[in-house]
Amino acid sequence: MNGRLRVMTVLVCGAIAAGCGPKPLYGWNRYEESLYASYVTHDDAKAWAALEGTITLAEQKHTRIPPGVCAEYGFALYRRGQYERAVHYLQQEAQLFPESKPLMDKLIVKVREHIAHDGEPMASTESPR
Amino acid sequence: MTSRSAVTLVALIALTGCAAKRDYSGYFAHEPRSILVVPALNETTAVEAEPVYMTTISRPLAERGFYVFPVYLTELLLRDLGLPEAGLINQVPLERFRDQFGADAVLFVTIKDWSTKYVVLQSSTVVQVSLVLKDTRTGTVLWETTQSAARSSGDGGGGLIGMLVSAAVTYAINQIIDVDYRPLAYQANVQAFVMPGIGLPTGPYHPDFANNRNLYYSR
Repeated sequence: MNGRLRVMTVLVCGAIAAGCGPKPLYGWNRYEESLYASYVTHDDAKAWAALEGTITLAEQKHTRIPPGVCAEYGFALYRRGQYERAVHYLQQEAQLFPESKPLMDKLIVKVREHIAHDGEPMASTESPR
Repeated sequence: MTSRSAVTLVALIALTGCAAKRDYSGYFAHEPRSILVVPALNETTAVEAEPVYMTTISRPLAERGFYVFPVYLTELLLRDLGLPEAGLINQVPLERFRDQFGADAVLFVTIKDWSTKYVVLQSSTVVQVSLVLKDTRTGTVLWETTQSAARSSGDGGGGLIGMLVSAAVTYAINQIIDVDYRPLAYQANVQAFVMPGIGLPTGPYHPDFANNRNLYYSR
């Protein structure tokens, strides 16, 4: 493969990978790592840590949090029994992306039912998975 | 990236530049803001294809400017609704996705090829997917495409010895660890969305959104 073709390849691939835009819309950080842990290795603890990391890094770097991240994290907190924090992140998803509001509102109702029934469990009694 | 796939890609771009324009009238009649990606239908024998693929679709679609519903949460909620897999999900009336999720459109993905073939000194890995976007109000097909991405080994090292070594190493590595299909799946998705003349118009979070009709429609 000659040098010029290689350079061209890199340029074409680069343009395609970048979606032909000057810079990405969102700070993806560890979101795909989280999805891989959920879908492929079935490691909830790692998936949840990567979601939390994605949000923290986006805030530190002043980039936009990608669609879905706060919702996935909110739902993970709900599954861990951290209901109040779950509601916070589900609301944040709806604020960042109004398209998600109907679904987030439904999920928040579901979480609040659990708060009414069980109350908020103590943080120290939670298992990480 | 290999020379072969680079040439294919360049040829494809050149080709689509002069091909007949796709009809986007259906798309613009129901221009979506939000897209629900449902679990992919896997037509291959590779059982890991579906879960691995699902990790590669959110980023390119969201970078196209759409609100993309959280894919893993979607899968959990669909399971709660008694819809654990693609075969069942593809039978569901489209309005139901609007009622349950508030989605404007649903993206149905079919994995057509997900394989690595070994031919003498080379291995070649292929991912092929077909994507169909449907409106949840009317069930209309808004946009569809089939894309593939390929990568072959034995490209790296000058001359027959280099090829021999490289093929042997690749083969050995593939035997020990699984081939990572994610870059190819990601590439197929990006090609599908950005290909001039046949790609997916941008969504509301993309800076080109206001210019969509000029770019895709009225030309």
